[in-house]
Amino acid sequence: MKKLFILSILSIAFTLSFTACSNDDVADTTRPVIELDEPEDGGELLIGAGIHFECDFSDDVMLGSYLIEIHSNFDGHSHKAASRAASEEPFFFKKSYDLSGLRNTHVHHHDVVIPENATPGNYHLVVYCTDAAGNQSLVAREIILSHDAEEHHHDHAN
Amino acid sequence: MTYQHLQSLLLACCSVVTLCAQTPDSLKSTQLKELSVSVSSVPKSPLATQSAVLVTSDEMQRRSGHSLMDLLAQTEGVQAMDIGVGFSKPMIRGLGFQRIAVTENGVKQEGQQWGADHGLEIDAFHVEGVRVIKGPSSVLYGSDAMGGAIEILPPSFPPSDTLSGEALVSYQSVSSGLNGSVMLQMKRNRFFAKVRYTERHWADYRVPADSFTYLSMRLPIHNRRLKNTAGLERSANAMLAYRHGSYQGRLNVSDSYQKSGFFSGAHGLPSSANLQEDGDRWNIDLPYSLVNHLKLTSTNTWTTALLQTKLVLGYQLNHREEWSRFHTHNPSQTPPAVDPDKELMFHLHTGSAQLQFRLTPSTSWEFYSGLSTTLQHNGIGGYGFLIPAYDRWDGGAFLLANYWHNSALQFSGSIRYDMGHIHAQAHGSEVCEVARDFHDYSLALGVEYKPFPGHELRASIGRAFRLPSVNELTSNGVHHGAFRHELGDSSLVSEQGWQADLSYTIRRDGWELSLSPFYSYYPHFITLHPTGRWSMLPDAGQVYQYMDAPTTLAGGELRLKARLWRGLHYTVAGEYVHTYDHHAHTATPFSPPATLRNTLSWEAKRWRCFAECQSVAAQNRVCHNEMKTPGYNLLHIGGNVDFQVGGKTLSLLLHVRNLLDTSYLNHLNFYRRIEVPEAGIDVQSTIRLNF
Repeated sequence: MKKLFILSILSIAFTLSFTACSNDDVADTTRPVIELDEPEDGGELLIGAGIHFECDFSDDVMLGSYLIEIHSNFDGHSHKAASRAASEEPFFFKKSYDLSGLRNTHVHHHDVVIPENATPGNYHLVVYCTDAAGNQSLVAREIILSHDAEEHHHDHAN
Repeated sequence: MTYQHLQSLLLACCSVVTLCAQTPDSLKSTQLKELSVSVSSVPKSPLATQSAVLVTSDEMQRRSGHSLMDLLAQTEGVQAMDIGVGFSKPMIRGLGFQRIAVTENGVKQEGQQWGADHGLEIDAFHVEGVRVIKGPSSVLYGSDAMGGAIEILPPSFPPSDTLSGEALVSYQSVSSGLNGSVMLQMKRNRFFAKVRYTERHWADYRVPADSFTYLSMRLPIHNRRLKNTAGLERSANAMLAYRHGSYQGRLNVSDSYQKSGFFSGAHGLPSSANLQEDGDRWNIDLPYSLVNHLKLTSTNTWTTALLQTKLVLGYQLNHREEWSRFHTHNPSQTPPAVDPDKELMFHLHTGSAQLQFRLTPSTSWEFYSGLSTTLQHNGIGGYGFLIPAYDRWDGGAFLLANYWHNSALQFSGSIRYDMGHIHAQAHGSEVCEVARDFHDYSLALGVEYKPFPGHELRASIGRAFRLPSVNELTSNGVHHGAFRHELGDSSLVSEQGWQADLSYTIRRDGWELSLSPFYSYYPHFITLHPTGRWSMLPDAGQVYQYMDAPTTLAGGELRLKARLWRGLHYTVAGEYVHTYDHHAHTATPFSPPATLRNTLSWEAKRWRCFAECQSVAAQNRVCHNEMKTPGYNLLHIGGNVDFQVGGKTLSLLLHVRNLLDTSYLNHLNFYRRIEVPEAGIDVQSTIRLNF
């Protein structure tokens, strides 16, 4: 009687736990992969020119979209609303691009044009990418905008 | 130990430890002979059949840690969500934040429970005993106690006149933390007074790593110390109790002040420039937080043979400020003229009142009924914005009955109805005004059965609910540290769920075994989900929105303690929680990994020593954009000894945690997402003199 009682309690306990743990269909939680070739970390970019952007995106299931953001990083990373020359303005860029239907893709464009009145200095360039399930990756780069940077030469060897 | 190994072991045993010292009812004549002095000092919980764990004052003193939750997390089923080493938030069976109620003197602690980087403002040295109620406790505490409750037990009235005290110092090597606390108590006739002052200081804490990886960037950790994680805490507590005839009253005043730095890498994107050494590991630089929690409570009890009436009144003021050099996502915003670096300020007033009756018409029936109400006003300030100013009111009434069929079988049932109103003010263009009314009911049914001597079975089923919090209704902005744009939904309904809970304990001469599985299903459960839409704000990525999703939580705890030979004891304790969000088809955020503790201890009357292996399985069940965390094993050793010196007791404690200096990541740490490793070897020592 006593053993039977304890056994029945244990079996109820088992059932409770196993019902909970069985047959969950688990969603995709793997993030997409961003391989950003250009611009490089610490790269100097010419004000007034288009940014050479070159990147590979891939996901194990399906890509969603990607976003390029550029914002100033004038004093470390405090995004201070700094005093500035009247004619100049800190460059801010944010634009998203659709990648739906693709699993991996190579992107190369010169879409992002740095305006002539952009304040020279340190900036952050961040590339975000989501997959169809909502997983998100990002790659952050420190870039320098200047008036005397070398105009990038089209070296597509790699 | 592999994840599968650990999980199957736990499932095979499938549950918890319920050390629950079930306190006999002092008004029941049949149980009078079981009464002892130590037992009668612990007030019983009306929810007698609920799975609960009592951590006594002796047990608290034998543990060591950096915060109250650090101490409690050594109990199966209870987890600490850490924010660095100084602070942590409670979590019970995988539920945390606003889903856990912490009560002291019968009043629920009201801080900013919704914030992942906000700790619990309670002096750990002042806490003498704790009862952890696992599972829904809404019936007693209303909304917010959906996942359980942590009741800090009041000090007991000394039996005879006394003037005594305690002085202690403690040290933690990992953060160079130095703590001091002094307590004095006096009992004269009908009066009992007690005061305590505690001060804690800690420096930047040490981690067993020279660098960490964040978003493929390798960032340095200079001198193996996390920059700007230093802090300090000052707490004062005073209590005056009065007892005469059928009346017993207690007046408590406490104030807790904390100032602590945020790791420089956790605000904005970590960059090596922010992590440069500043030469002083004790300084608290920007960004940092300041919190002051003032609490006044009055507890009054009138007891007669038939009826006990209890009136509890409370007032709390939680003031929180976060300071960070002025930065903005809005190019047209300029720094404020006053306090330009004050990013956020919350000023939360809470007034609460409870009236409770206990009626004992016979030895087999006991009834409780009660009314409670809470009124809140939250003001905000600072150049940043997270939640708007709001007013909140809630009130509820409950009925609870306990029935003893015989000495082996007890039933309990309870029902509660709550109403609530939230009025959040509009804030700029980001947040519209929200005014919502809520009402809901809670239920609990339970049984306690002792089929054979030494065997105890508890089973309960309950329904609980929680009103949506202001951040879930109105958030609209980037939370620093989380690096994401969080959006509230003003149309959310309250969270509701059912939980079934079982606990079986066998106590035998020389060994004790306890299992407690549970299963919960929440048809309405509020969590953040990624939307796939890009935020317009800088540094934000995609928008996350609070959504209502059906969720299942299941798991349990197991504990076996056996005496092997003379004072030598072996304890094995494990816990596991499985979480599943039926909308996203993933785990819920911050799902605790399976954990197993194997402890060998030698217990004597005046001393104790132990060695413990804590095995934590990998957490591979994550929600979208949460990182998987590898498993790890930690070794802890330690001991404590009491000396009698001329009628005074001197207690020494020395624990070494993470003896092998293992570098690991904690899935429940706020800093997990920036891949900062946990604390390395930590020598914790306490010298305590009772006089």
